[in-house]
Amino acid sequence: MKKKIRKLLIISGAIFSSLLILLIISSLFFYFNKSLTKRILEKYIADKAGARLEIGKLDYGLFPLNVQADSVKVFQEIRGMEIDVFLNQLSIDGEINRLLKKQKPILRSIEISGAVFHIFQGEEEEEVEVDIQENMLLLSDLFSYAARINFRDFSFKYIASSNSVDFERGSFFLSGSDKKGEFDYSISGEKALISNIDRKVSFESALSSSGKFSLIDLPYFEGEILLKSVNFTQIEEKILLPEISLRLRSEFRLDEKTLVFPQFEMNVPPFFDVSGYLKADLGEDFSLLSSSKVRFKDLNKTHDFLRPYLKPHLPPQLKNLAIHGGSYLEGEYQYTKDSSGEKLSVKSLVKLEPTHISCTTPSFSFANLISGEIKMEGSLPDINFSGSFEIQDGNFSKDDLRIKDLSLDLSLSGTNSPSDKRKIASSLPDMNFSGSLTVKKGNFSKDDLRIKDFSLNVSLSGTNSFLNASQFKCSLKGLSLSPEDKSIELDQVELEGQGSYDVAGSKIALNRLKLQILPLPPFQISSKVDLQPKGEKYFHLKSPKIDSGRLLALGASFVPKEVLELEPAGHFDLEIKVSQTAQDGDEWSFSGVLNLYEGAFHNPPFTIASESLHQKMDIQGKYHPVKKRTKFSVEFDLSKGESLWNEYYVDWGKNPFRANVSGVYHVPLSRLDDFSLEASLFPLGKVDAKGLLKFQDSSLFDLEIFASQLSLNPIYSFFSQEQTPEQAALDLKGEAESKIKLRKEKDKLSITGQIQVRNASLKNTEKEILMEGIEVEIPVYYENQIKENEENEESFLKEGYFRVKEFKTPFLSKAPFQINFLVGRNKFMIEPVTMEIFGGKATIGKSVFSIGSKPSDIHGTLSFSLSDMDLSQLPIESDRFSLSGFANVDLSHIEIDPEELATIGKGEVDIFDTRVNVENIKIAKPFSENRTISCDVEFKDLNLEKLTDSIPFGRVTGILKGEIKDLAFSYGQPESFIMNLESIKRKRVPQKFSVRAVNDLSVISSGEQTAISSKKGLTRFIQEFGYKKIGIFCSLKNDIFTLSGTIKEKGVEYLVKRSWLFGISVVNKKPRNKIRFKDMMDRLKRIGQSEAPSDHTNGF
Amino acid sequence: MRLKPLRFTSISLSFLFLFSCLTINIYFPEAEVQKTADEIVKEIRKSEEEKKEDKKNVSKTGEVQRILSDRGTSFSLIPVAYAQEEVEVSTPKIRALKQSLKERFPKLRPFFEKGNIGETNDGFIRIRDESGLNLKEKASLRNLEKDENNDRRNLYSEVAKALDVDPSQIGRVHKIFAERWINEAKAGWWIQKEDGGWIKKT
Repeated sequence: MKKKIRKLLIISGAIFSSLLILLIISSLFFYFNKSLTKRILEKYIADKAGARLEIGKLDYGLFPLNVQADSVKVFQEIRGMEIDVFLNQLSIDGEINRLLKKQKPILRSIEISGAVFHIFQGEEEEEVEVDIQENMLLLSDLFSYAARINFRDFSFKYIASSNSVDFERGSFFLSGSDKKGEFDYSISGEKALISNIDRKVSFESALSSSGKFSLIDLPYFEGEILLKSVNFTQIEEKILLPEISLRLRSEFRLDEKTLVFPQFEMNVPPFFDVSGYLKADLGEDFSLLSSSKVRFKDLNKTHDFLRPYLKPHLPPQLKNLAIHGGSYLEGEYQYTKDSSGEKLSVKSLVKLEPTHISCTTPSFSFANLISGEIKMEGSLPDINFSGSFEIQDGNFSKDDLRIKDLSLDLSLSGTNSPSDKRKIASSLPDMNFSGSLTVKKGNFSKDDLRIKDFSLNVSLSGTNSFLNASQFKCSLKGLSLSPEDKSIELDQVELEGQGSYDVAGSKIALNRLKLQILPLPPFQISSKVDLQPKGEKYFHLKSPKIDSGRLLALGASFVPKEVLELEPAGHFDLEIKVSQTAQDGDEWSFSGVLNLYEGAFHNPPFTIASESLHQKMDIQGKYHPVKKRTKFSVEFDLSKGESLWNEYYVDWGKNPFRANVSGVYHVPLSRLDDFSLEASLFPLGKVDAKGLLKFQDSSLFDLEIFASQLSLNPIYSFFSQEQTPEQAALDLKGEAESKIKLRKEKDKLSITGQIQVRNASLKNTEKEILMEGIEVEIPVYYENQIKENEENEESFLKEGYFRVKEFKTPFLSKAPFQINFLVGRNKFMIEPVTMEIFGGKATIGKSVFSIGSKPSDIHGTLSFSLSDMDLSQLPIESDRFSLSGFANVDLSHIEIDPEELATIGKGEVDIFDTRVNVENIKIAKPFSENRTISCDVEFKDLNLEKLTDSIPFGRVTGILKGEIKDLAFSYGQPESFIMNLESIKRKRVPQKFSVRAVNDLSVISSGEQTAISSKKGLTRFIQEFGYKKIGIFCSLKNDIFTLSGTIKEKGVEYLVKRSWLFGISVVNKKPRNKIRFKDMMDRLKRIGQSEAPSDHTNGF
Repeated sequence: MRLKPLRFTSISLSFLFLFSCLTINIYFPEAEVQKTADEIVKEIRKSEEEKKEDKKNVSKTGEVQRILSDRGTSFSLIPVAYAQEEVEVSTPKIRALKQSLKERFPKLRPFFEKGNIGETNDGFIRIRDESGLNLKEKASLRNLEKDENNDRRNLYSEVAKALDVDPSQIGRVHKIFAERWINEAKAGWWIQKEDGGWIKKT
């Protein structure tokens, strides 16, 4: 057995030895035949790994164990991914005994230089589930074979269908640590580039990183990553960062399938730091939990860095934005995705530390210290947020607006779940806020508006769909407004109010605004505006007791000088309402009330003045802003006060004035269409007017005026308010109405129409004149500018009349009578009128009157005749006068104008047995009170006896001839005359003077009676004296009568010369005798008073 | 033929000489105007007391005249009234105007005394100061002023016409009347100086 065993052992030994030798030989063979080894190896790799391996040069040694390979190429395709690796030089060092013992690390080092990795990711095939843990263990095991792996100068390129990764000129060092499964690493590369395939988005930087990791048990990574010269490009935007450093630790809890970053820090100097915690649950139910803090240490540097990138996108005004300060963001973010769906929870705090933000441009600048914070918490879609913002020491200027000490304190809270579905900004979270805005000092100037100092305080609250300003206070000081050459200076303006803005509904409501412009009383304003197209708009302004004087003083330069000069005073209540509804279309409705109390005004010379006026005015209308057209109606009521116009005075309390005015005013045309006026002035009557008024360029007034119920009596004395005795004696009753068309274009005036008087009566108690049943119709046709050649072309077209039922004067009574007349342009014609007067017949022939450029410039022609008027019927008050005879007048042509009435023709009075001829009849200033009537009178055979029997003068018999030249009367009294009287001797006509006649003549000539008395002495027996001749010259001028005799003999001047034997002579002792008018009147009164009226001629 | 130019020249020179020596004299009866103005203004401005006094005098004069006339038995016409011959200028218009002015004066007097109106240097009244007057009084005063000045203007015109004053000299009539109005103004009334300024009469 032993032998067999021995033999077996010998054989075995021999075989083993042979085999060993063979092995040694074969090993040596392989050892020294390296190309064979290379091929075997390439084949082995190809068979085992499916990779194509090409080794350019292979060298190795066993003692010590080392492998050098040059130009090693590996190519492998795995599920559409092509991996192409080229190693320029590969050097592996190890120990053969550790290899044989399989003691790790078997290799001391793996040195690779000039490695190039190309990975091309083609279309991915089906996703194959990879056992990450197994692969990680495999990888860890693989790394553990070498104590040190060192890649030098390697590059890596990964190309996928949509993006690529480049890593160039890199180095990688990996070494195991003392801890099992843990490796230290370091990697660096001059260029790490990640980009999408069209390179529109790319990230490029130099990379260096070092740290440690483990892929077994609890895989983790801990290291630092430093990125330098970071270049992030998106489209054409580039962000260049000098450095980004990351320091992080991550743990991959395979059992929990969670990836945890217990602590990570990222520093992007000098902009911000990020630190935080991140946990990702990669199991079936994915979740992500992140807690991080971001701190922007220096916003100025951040802004400086971002400026080039932000500049193209910022408004020009913000290009010079400067930010000094910092901000802080802290938050938690949790995302879960499970079978029930996705859930996102957020809890964060954004805090802006006091940061000074400023921006200065030539036209715009601001500088504010802003701080605040926003907290957000909740799960989508219900994320609640709250926060506050505060602006302090704010300064703002734009153009000419300057605001200092601006502060804003705002608290916000809200949720992103839109509770109000009407919200226009549904993308915005639903937000509640409250706060206040304060401006302590500001000034403003824009164009013509200047505010020297203003302050503002607003308490705000609301949501992003509804803004409520619960308290609004604004104080403006030193406000001046100066458009063009006007200016308004307001020392202080206070605004206080309350309003809201419904963002969702686009509605603004100004519930209350008190506007106080000192020293005026406050204006109460309210308004509602729907900003939507065709939305309703409403404004209301009300202010009681506005002092008109102060108001005008404030806006003096806006008020025409003519109005200011009136120095208006008084108080008025003002209320204005303006609205626009959908029914109004583009038009605005407006209404206003202006009640004036104790109003007063006057122009500087006080020719126009009013005092204590109480007036109400209601105005309503619509304004079309596009057509610039206003339809309006105004009710005007003036019921108290008094007015003065030159010397005319109206007491409105006694004569209340009411008017309704309406029309359509076209602003651009300055034209008032459909003008309508209904005015009443008690007790005068009513006036209605309709028509067109144009105020611009060629001014035009085209009106139809209808006056009705015009009381005649007040018209007479309306403005004077004080009746003269003449006015008091006049009682005029009745009513008139008129229809007048008035057209005035520039200076051309045309008035047509007619005036009617109905049932009027006139009674003059002083002159005892009565006219009753007066009916008048007067056509009116007047133009102030007519060409001369037109004047005669038109005839009398319109008819009128003057009708009186009863006409009574102390000397005439007539009923009824009518005067017809015709009216043409600027002229009228009275048809012939005939009436019986004192037994005769008076006829006024056709009278034609024309009116010149002024209505008072009237000129007429007419004729007058009087036939057989019985003088005995004349109403002579004194029974001492008795006339008998007849008068005839034939004035064939009468010319009349305001200065003179001149006649052609004469009058004849058959009286006292003679015919008295009256010629050259004239009236100077016939229409004035101081008219003068003049004529020449001549007679030849006047029977003195009949004359003296008819007048209160002593009886004289004889025949007289005489003439009175330039006989003139004014104020019913003789003004002048030159009279010559001379007796004519006739057969059988005695020439005698009664005693009384002598006395009367004596009274007239001397003022005293003669000593002759029919009751005394001798003369008691003598009743008459004969005379030979009478020759008297008498004149009157300047109230001085001269009386002289024309018979002169021997130096004696006789008025009456006796015959040679008997009779009486009346001698004028004072040839130039002058008697004052007053004396003459006294003398005439005394005529006949001394003697009894019964005076008979008894002969002597 | 040679003499013709010489003759023409000499005739022309003669006419030139004559015209250069011509003085147009317009007659202005200053004394009469002054007297008339004096009488008219005094009559208008006569106080109520003076008027009563005048009435007494007139009645006394009438008594004297009656006594004298009763004494006389002569047929001769020697009127007693000649003793008081006057040259007062009057016409019905002047009388009417005077009457109107007289009747208005009591209404004007309070306004003169309060300084509301004054006498101008051209013979009219002018409203100087309306303070203290209500609108009705202002209207009344203006009517008075207008009427007064219209009457005065007509009065001056009628006086000038009565005295045959050339219309070009009407201004002198105004001035003369102005002096009289100012003379008759009471102390404390406002009067206008020649330079247009106003003073209170002392």
